[in-house]
Amino acid sequence: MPLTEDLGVFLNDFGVSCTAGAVTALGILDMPSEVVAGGMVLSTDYTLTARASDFGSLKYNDSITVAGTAYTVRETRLLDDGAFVEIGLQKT
Amino acid sequence: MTRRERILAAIRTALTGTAQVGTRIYRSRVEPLSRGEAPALVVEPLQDQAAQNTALPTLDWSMTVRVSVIVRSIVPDQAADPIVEDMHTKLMADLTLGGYAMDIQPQAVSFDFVEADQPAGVVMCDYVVRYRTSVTNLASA
Repeated sequence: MPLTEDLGVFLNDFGVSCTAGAVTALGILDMPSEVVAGGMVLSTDYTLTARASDFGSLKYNDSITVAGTAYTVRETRLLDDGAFVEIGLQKT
Repeated sequence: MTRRERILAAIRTALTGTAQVGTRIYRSRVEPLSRGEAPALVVEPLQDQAAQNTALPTLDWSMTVRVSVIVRSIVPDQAADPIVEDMHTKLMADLTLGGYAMDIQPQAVSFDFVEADQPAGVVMCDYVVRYRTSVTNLASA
């Protein structure tokens, strides 16, 4: 029996509204704290998981609003088969 | 109190008023600094080596002290530059550090740039402080 992917299901429960340019879609925002720079700097690792077809073309310094908060893109990384991306963000 | 600690305290005091850092000057702070705590300075000893250079009962010490300038900026080293400049001027204003040292000399500067919720940079400025103590008493010369 062939499997039919429904990527939207993954985002429906915990996704929040994200807007970059003309695209508005769901994404899951994680924000764990991390210690960097040899233990000298405490940072928040803002990471947005979203469909590559929605936000996969975002590049360094692009703007995106996540749940009403403005962020700037650090980098966009494809996950696994490339259907989803992880987007590293910094707060604008 | 050892001369080592007096010198470190004197460095901390000498850096008071350094551009942009306000009261964020810390002695050997081990806790990481959050975004709202930058720019800041951290003063810490790296090593202290002793040598008995004369027949007198004294030790000549060479202590490496690191002053780390921690900034948050798109171009961290550029943002840190005026702070480094002012910090260095303040540190060199009294080479005896209140009378406890024979000399203080810059040794090296290194840089660490990291990705963070706002790009972060640490400019590590190392200085060598030469001072003398008694062989039997680290608090006196």
